Amino acid sequence: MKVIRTATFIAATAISCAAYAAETEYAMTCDEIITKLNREVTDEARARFADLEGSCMGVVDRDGELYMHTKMVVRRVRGNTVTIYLPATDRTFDVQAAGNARVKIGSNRVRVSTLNRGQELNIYLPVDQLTQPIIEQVAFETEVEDEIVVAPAVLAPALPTTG
Amino acid sequence: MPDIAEAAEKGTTQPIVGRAAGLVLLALLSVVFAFGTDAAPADDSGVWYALPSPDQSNWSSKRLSRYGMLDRSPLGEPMAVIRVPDLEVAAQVYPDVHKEALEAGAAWVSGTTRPGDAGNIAIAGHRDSFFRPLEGIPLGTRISLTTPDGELRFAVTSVEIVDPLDTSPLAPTKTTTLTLITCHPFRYQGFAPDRYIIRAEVLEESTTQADRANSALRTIPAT
Repeated sequence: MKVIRTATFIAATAISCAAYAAETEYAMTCDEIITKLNREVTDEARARFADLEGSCMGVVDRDGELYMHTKMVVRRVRGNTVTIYLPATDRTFDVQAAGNARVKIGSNRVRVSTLNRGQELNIYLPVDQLTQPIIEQVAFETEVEDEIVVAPAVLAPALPTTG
Repeated sequence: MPDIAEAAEKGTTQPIVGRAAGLVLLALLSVVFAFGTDAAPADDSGVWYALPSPDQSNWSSKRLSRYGMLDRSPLGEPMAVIRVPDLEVAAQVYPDVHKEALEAGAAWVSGTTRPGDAGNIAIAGHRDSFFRPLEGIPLGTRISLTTPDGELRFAVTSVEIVDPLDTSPLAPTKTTTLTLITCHPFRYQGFAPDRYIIRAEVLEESTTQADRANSALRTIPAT
């Protein structure tokens, strides 16, 4: 009886740990990715991502690709084209979002076209973009759990952000 | 070495007191030297961009902390110093808008006219540190911009609030104009949605190296 109870306890612990790992879903920590980038990235790129350390909120793996969970500020919305300020880069981008692109607000996933100017929300940045001269892609969630859709991003002219 | 009491008895206090005073003076000079070699020199250092410590009474705690931890050495020498005497604003201006420049003072917006040249000179600063006193700046307020070549003086002609995607304040101007940019509202929590734009026109009393050269030429007697 005691052996069965012990085996049950071990099995329950293992299942809990697996469930926790699945729930946290982070493939790497921000510290790990920042350390990796600091080793690999040029001074120029490091200067572009001056706020990276304060902006990385986690790293997730989607279909073998790594994405950094980070913050965006909505500057303008015109249909599915959204202009966003990315604090991680201190730059503003025009992003052409696909029809199935969604942004999570609380437990809801809302269409990009329904976002409002000034909203501070989360977005995903493909990690390989961090080593590129200019960011050319960002990624949104979709209606499907754990699915990510990439959108092209183009640098947009804007006044400096000063706090 | 004899002590002072012994020396007094022997009538030899003067050289010992002199040596002690010399040591004290040397120590004082060492302290002055140590604190006087900071990248942000004190007002009496004689360097053209020297400024007193900023009034930080209205700064946000985030800016205070970052200013205190800032490593100024990569910034090098500033390209200008901006002063708004009526509002007690004084900041060194560093080339290009980036994090460290904005923490250390103000930042010249690259692509606009360089301080000291003719055109639209755009300078950005944090709303919760150096540029906080600019909120509600009255029209006509005097602003000076000092460079190694001289001093430009301006008077504020307009204040407006614009969308950050409106880059028209950075457009070239026919006259020498100073455009100051900071985020708005000044006390917004988070990334402020607007920009506060102060335009100032140059005054004739400005002195630049070119002016001084012209003035010197005019004083050369005709032969």
